Amino acid sequence: MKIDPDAIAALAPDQSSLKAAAGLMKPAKWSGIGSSHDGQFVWGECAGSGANPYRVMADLGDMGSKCTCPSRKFPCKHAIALMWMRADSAAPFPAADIPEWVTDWLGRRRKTGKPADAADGTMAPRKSLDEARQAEPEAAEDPKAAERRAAAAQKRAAETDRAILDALEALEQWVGDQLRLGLSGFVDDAVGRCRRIAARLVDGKAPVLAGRLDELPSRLLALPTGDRVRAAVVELGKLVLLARAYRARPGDAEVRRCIAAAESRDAVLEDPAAPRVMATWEVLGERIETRRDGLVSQTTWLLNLTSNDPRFAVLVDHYPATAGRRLSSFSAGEQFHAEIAFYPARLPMRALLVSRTPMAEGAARLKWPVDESAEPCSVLAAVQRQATEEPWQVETLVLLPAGRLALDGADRLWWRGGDTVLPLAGDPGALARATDLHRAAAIWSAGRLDLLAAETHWGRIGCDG
Amino acid sequence: MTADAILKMLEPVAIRWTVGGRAAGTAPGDWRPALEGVDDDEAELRLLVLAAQFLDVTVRASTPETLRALPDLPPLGLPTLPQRQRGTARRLMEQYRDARLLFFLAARGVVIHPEDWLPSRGDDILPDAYAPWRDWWDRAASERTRLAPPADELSEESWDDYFPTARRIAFAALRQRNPGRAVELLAARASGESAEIRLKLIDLLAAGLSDRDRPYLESLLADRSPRIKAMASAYLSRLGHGGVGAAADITELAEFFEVRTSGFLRRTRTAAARQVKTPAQRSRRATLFGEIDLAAFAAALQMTPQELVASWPLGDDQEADGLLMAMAARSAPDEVVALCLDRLSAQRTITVPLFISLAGRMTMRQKHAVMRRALEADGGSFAIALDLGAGLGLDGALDTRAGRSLLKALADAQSNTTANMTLNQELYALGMLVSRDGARVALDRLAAAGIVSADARLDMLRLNAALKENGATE
Repeated sequence: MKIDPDAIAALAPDQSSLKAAAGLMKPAKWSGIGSSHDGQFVWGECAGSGANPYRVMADLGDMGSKCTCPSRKFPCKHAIALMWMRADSAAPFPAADIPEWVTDWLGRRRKTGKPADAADGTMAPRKSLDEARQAEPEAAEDPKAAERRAAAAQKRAAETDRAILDALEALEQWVGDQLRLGLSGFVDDAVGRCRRIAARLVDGKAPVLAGRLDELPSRLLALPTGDRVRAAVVELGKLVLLARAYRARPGDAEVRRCIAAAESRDAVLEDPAAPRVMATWEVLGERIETRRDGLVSQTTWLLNLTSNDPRFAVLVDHYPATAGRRLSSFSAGEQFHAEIAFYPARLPMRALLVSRTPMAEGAARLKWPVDESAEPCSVLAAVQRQATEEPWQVETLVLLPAGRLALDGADRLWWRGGDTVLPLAGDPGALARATDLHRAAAIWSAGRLDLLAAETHWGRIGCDG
Repeated sequence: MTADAILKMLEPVAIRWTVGGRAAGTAPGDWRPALEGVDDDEAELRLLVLAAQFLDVTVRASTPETLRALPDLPPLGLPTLPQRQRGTARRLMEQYRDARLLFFLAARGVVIHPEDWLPSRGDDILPDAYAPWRDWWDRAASERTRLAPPADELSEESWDDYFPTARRIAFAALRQRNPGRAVELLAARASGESAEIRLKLIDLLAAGLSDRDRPYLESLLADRSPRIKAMASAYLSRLGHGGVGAAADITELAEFFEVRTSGFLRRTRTAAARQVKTPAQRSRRATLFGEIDLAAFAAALQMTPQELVASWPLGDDQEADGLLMAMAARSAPDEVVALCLDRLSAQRTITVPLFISLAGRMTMRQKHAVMRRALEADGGSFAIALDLGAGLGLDGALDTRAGRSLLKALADAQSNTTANMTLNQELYALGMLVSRDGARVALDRLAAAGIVSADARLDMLRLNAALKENGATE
């Protein structure tokens, strides 16, 4: 299907979108590009600033498009770039069966008919592909201005550090207050009390830690009443540990990541200390939560099917809730080859997807690894290892060996593997209760397992209930 | 110091913190050096960190004394839907939550994967293939967790080895093979079951109903369950031994009608519905229709069942029409049901819901014929026709009036919105009704009409086209 380049220019919301799209027209930024056999649909994955690449798709029949990026502009630069690459033949678009995520979008979409410019009849500012293609000459930098900028940046960083230290001091005082006032009352009023200190942490340039405080009540309230005070002791103690770790080494990127902000994608990709792992991965599951600060947090857990170093990767993205519901970048159970860059850490876990290629058409699914060390007792060893290396963390990913779920007298669920019996959080669904779990991946938190997925004789099953 | 000892020593600390107060003074002895030489606030925070780390790493929930693993979900007798089609089936199940999809798949020789759908405890209307999953709930709730199905044929001795759904299916098979033995077995063992289970088993006597069953059915007229009594009475009525029932109720129902005469010699008698004045009356009339046999009702009007049906003024009171057809389906002999079908078919406009009342007594051929007419009728649709049954393997569906309407509606919707619920329902129903070849033809026709092949609304048609008659895929 032939595309009129002028139609792409007309479609772009503004000249800057075209300019940004021009910057994305490098095949190296894209993977998984394809087109339907009739050429009407094109799709691809474009590396953005998040942990996951954005999934971009377009219907060339009516120039409709969809992208998983959080941009409020429509179409976004990624969709424009995809259509533009197709128009310019700037990358090969091999014909293939339409992937399920594109089909899913087609099922939901409402056709718009004509592009907005033509429909509303108003005179939109003229936009030009040629102008967008032109690289802007880099202005020669004034050395004094650069010095001033560097000094200002240094001053800002120092102010931020000061603000964080002040906020952490306030946090410790707050923790002490909770002990003095009584944890029974804290558990009853956790939402209000945590909200107040979280607001203070946001003011103190510690938004990640503030998010953790905001989520703390829901973690406590998910537990049986009798376990909540003990869990509150653990949660509050870990907060103090984290504050002390920051004070001891303010420059420690891993600790800073838990308090202020994670490094940018580019910083991780350029960091020689960030481990890169090329492997075959399986999507274990995904959690999408709207946070109190208006951001949606999207967490995807991956299992390394090729080696146990590391065994897991966690992709975390945030985007504003106002950007609306976003299509997932993955489907549960999906397997793919990918290079993954891990944020430098004592136990690398949080990661970015650098590139990925789908499994060959018709290729058999890879089995989950048989981890020799994954004896039931070593599940707890993994928990202990994390508690030693990163004692401030509240979640540990574990790969469970063969086991089975069972009910106690009060119909609470337990995972049993050999002599090890561990309580479960959440409902993993009827099927998980009714079959042997050859292997299972789970999150260990607050002394409970939250199953993500399992291998069974029914094949791989999701355990999100 | 052991972990248990530390935990014990932490008890007073936990009590202080729970109610509020300083606890450093009651800290375990081994930890005290870490708390010395600092102010009280700092000592408290240090104790908190130590306690948190200790509790996180070493303390686990105590193992319950008894744990009960639920029985394995058993494999089914049919192969599971191929991996390639699972996503489509899952989407359809999530979107429509429609058991007819399960019947469609079962007719094609496959079952859905248990990750994509599992019956709930109350799901009763399922294809027989799912009986082991339906019974899994009963097994899970009972102490009997035997995994293998009973090896013996259903008999008085093996009766208790079966869970209810599997027993019902085994009983249906026995009824087909040896109807006399089946009714003997029921007479010998059913009385020990709950009314709910008995009702489902007695319902299966409908297949191959004959005078051989009469003594048992007559014995059920004294059953303690009113629903079983009503079913036995209806079956006796089908055998031509109707007319029993509470005389007052029969009279009350008859009084909702008046018999009019017409014709040259005033010999044609017709039961005309009197106007129902209140919702309470309407409801009472419907209840009586559901409990009384056609033979008894006809007799109260001094007519034979044949006369009643043959002269029934179809269309005068549509609600009464529906009630009469449901009554006939439940309690009329085959020849009277055939008369009902003849009368409905002879109508100028076809009223599908009336046929749906009789669907359980219709042959596949009759359903096909009705479906064809329904699709050619003014306002006919695939969604309505689907109520006659899924997986009937219709061909040439898009050449019917409903098919042409669908194509036109799709063309009209192109410039408007593709998310039209009615069209979605029609395409879904079309996918359920047609044969595999019919699905392929429909997909080609729809593609030619401009519907993109990847359109999610074509999921049902694509699933149909991908499944061979034996469930394999290409």
